[in-house]
Amino acid sequence: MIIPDTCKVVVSRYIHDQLTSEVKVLSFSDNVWRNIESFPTIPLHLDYRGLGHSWYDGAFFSGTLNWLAIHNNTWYNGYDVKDFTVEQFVIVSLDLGTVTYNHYWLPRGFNEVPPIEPNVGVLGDCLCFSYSYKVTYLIIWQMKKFGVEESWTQFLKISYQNLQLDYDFSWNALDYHLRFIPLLLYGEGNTLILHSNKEREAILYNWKDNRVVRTGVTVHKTIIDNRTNNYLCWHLAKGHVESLVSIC
Amino acid sequence: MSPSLVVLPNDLISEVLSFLDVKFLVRLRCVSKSWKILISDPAFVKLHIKRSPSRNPLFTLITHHITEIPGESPYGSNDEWDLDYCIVPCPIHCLIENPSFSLSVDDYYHLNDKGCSRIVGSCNGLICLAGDSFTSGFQEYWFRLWNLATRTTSKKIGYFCNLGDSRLSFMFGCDNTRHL
Repeated sequence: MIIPDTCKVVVSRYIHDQLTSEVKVLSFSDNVWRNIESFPTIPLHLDYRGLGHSWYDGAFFSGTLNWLAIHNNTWYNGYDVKDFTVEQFVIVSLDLGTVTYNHYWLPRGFNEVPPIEPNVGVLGDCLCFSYSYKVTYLIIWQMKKFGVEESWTQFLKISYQNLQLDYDFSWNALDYHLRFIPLLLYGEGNTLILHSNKEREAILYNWKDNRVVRTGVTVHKTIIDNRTNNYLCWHLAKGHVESLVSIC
Repeated sequence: MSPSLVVLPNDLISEVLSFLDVKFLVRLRCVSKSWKILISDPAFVKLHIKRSPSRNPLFTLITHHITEIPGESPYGSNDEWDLDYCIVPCPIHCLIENPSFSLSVDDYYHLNDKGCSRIVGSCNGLICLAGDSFTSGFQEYWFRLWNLATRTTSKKIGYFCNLGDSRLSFMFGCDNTRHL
């Protein structure tokens, strides 16, 4: 019994001077790579790969892989998005069943390009889109009905003040360096588990009663040796299900 | 009156079992041949995944381990560093109820032991790992699936070579619509 025949790896290589990507798909059922057509956009997060992991290259949701891209542009340095217009941002969605692309426009309320790349992820069983706004708010949208652009709904607009951040806000470049990643929702969606790249720990934010708690996790291996430094990569935390899927 | 043997239809048994944790089901596979067949049945595996929202929600934490390997030079100039990652499943409620805790990482969760160095993604309880090695001008990559709950890994597949230093982006997912 092999169920993973539906599992696929997608590898893409962005070719700068041609403004396109080479994309190929590996199917676990037959161990064969197939080239597929590329989508004419520039993928974002080119230089943002948490320590070589590709966890954030694409958000897997309901049989599709989704990532943020820029269209109608000739150049992107991999980190600076402020020269784009909001109309240039698009979510590219690759359907793993049909191996075809869709693209989705972002919510109409997204009307100002944030100083740092926005983020696409999965939150509360919806595709979500989040970004910082005027060094003051973190805004999170949910696509309530997957694939329907009209269903974008603003889920949360969290004031930085409510998150009790002790960052140096007098540093005027802070906004270009501060990135939040919404990780998970818990307890009927009332508690948001959030990562900030300015903190080692995660933020647990109950938005119903505006309570903030920070985690304090220490990591060690079962065999303790004093030559190893152990770190927790909160930005890579993700929802998980257990399954009996056999892969032998 | 002596108790009579009640025979439950298979549909009902699988309905009940589909709410249980993997750990428990792995043990129940040893109860009888018919249960073993039932629990291994792809239809049951799919039903069990469908029931995930009714079980305790989990998340995976990634830990990074950097070990210093001292070289021969007393000045540390030829020290080397061994980098490894682990992927550890945890119940979310534990984090919410007790946000400060000490995480002891089971040896089983190390990536290097699986011949891999990075995580590509996860889907249906499977983690996709990637490994690479650099030999004679080529960067060679491979992939491997890992079921954390049943503690099984696939063999390495999808070997390919990449010339030069162009950046590759890896993604992983399953086509749920067709089979679930």
